[in-house]
Amino acid sequence: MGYRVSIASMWVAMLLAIVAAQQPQQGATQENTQPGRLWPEDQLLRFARAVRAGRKLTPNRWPAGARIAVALTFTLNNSASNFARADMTVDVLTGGEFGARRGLPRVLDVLDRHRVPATFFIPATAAIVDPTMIPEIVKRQRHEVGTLGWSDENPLQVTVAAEEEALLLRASDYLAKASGKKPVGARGPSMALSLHTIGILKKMRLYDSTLMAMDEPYEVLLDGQPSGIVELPVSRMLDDFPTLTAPRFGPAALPSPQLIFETFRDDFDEAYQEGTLFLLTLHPQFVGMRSRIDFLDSLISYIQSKPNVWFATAEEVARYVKQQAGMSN
Amino acid sequence: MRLPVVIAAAVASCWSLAVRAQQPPAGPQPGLKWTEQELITAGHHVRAGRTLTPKSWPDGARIAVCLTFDPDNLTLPLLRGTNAPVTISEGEYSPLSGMPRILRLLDHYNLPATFYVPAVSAILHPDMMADIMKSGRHEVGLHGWIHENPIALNDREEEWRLMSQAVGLLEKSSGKRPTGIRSPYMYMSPFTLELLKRAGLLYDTTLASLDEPYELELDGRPTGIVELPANWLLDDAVFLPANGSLPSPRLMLQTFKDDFDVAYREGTLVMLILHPHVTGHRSRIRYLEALLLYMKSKPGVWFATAADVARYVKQAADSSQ
Repeated sequence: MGYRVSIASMWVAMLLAIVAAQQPQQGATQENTQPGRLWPEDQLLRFARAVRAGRKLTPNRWPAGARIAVALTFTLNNSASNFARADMTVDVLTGGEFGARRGLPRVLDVLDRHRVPATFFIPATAAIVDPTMIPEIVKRQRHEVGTLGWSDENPLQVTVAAEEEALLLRASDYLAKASGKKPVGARGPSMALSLHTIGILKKMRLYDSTLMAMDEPYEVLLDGQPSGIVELPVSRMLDDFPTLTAPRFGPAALPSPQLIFETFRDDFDEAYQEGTLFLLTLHPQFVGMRSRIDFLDSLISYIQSKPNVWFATAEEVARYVKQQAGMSN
Repeated sequence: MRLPVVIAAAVASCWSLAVRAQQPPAGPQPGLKWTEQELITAGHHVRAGRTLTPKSWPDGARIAVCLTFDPDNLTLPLLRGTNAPVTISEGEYSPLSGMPRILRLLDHYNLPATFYVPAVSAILHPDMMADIMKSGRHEVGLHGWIHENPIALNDREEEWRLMSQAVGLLEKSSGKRPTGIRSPYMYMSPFTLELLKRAGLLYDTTLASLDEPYELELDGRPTGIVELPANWLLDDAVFLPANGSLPSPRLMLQTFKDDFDVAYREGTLVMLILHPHVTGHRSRIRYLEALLLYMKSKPGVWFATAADVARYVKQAADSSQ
């Protein structure tokens, strides 16, 4: 019983870890390593340089005179990370099944109604377990399929670069076969990248959509050098995971779709003024619940009511900014 | 069975922070055996002394408002010894995206602010420092060397080494010796106040005994150090991160406004504690702007750097003696 509850709490724990990072436990009993305080400046600079944000890639103008690009992205992870951990807790897995059987169809339906494109980042194992998902997405002929690792695995715990690369290659091959097109974009599984990931993406010529240094496209620096990798950044504040999870399946920090979609809209308004990119990251298993799906519908209507908005897949955005910046393909 | 136990322990350790406030702390309770004298010694180690709200603020203002920002940037992951790319990128949001928006907003309304900059933030982002200094309106204060946790250090000399190193670095990069500090993590060790005296600082903004300026006392004796209290209820990092305790900027800023209204009535001080990686986000910045406009719409609001407030209240108190 304790085991089941613990596993259910893992999601919560992952998010809380971020909070924990900011609020160490008080008291001298806390493990006091704080290793960074002992490093000389040059060591700090070298260490901090591994993967960093480079130049901004927002073009002078978006296609057809649009003032903003809007990329709706869906992390269709379902229960893949549970598979990665070999966690077969039956009731927890139903959350993923819900994503495939109810969440995704509702999301596709909303996208159909507005005729807007979207990008779905899918771990291979989620597609294997629910094989109707990719055909349903592909059938629309508007959407993109990108990678989310082999099984939404945490790359920081896959310590061998060759193993991480093999998992991503295998995932890419699987998605290519299932969708009929080789993926060109990657989202870090478990919302993480290892220190090897950017090098692997470079080899596989993928754009990335996992990092969070800006609200607009940028080029990733690898060890201080331009990597040629386009980053279409995500934001935890434009993600339904921290707030809108079902309480059993995640942190549910503010499970009020009304308040959270108000925040998404405020963010869009500011992005529209700044003229950059609005990239939303949603999970069909959470946003596809009955109490949430109409808010997605309304948000898309609101965005569509504004003149000069370019709805695009992440792939289209990445290709466009790359070409405008004169980066080789 | 080992694995579940390990997982449960990992979860529990993360959980403990969240539930700490709701559950009585576990462990021995030696204080139950303390004598009255021992209780007073422990409870009075660092205390609020006389209040320092002046009879009047400059130019007849009714209230002083400090806008303060802590650009922690990459310091937290680096302190812990990690350079995992997503974590680093979240830290980079502050200097690359949040700070420019905040500085633009402050420029637009010509408002002064105070930035408590960990020294390592100044080292890694010298452009950010230059941008802060450009207008000549803002103050730079201390926020540790690398946002170290002074309680976990539990070492007077190591704490002093990092603090004095930070004073030197900020003096070099801002051109001015810092006169104030917000303790990193908003934690103070049993040694901190004594070290602030040793560093010759004018003021601190970490503690929260009152919601108006006061003088800090150390072991029952006045220190001459001004406290400009920093209450967690006016701290965006508690509420407004995506997984904060109230990630609705509209509701949270309403609370800040309510706080201001009572402070205005009482005629004291509002110390806002903001973070570029939180309030610098697109969905948050507009509510900060709305709050600034609201405060500006009231007559007699003195927007000032924390150093200016500290100097003013200290002079006013000294001259009235």
